[in-house]
Amino acid sequence: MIFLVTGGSASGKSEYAEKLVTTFGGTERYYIATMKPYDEESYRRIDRHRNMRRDKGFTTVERYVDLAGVMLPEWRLTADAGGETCAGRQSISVPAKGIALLECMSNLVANEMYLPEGAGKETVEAIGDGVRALAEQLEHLIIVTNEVFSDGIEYDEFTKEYLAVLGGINQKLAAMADVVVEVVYSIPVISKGAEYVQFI
Amino acid sequence: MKLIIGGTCQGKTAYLTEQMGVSEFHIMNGEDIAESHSVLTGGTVAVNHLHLYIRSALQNGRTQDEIQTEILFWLETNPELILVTDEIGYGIVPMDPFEREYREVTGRICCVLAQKAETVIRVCCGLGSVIKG
Repeated sequence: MIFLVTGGSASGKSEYAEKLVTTFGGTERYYIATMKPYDEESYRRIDRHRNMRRDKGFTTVERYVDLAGVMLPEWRLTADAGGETCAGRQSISVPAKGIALLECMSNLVANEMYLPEGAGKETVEAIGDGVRALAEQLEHLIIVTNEVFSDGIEYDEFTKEYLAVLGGINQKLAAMADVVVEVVYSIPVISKGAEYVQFI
Repeated sequence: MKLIIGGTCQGKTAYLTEQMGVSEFHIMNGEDIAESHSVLTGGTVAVNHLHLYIRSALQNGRTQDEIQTEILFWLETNPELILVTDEIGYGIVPMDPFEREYREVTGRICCVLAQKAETVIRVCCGLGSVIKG
């Protein structure tokens, strides 16, 4: 399943997304970090998130662009389940499809749009393809994005373009997702797929 | 404790006075509390503009922990208090470091308050949605 978690800044959306992982997740847990650190404040932000994730068994994958290129170790032999068949006991290999938390879409979009190695004009397609490729390798993909659209400021053309691309991607992701949740000051407000997350 | 949140100019104050029946004489504004050394006047039923209290406390050099402790102290003495705050943080990361700190601290404190609140109401276009309780 694909889960889309959105919310404003400091709304508790990361905490909620991690709770989804610990509720739904098996043993293979990935954290796909998209923020490229550039100053002390961003390192502090990363440290805060690392501390939150500590002891939750995540493997961190730093990925600033090109989600489609992420190859997670899939189809790993994890179980040797004994099943009685006509031929006697037989071992069965079970795909170890894990769960990944991708954080944050707002950074990934900015990276794809503005980094020299990014997808530039093809950002929307690159992210759509990347999310699909990633979701296929996983049991569950949890995507954290950001509500940055309601501060009433009339921005320059450059920022407006970013808002348009991120807004469009958020809509596309919400259409692809099984569950869409807006976290409002730590309270989950569910827009889609309530039946899967009501108990959290 | 009840927490009322919502964007600016969405009718939160009217919701407080008309829907919840709180007299305006029993409402303190965040910006005034900051001037009165963080002390609530006796008989206060609701604190409006909590975000401006946080903003002003930050401008006076207080930390997130200190501000949070002050607000939680009001709740200790007045567990039925209604707190009303603008919902902020729905924009592009501000260039100004103080503005970044302000929305970060307000968000974190409001998360704590929402967890403590028995009811959280989100007001949009004058209409309240109960998102907790």
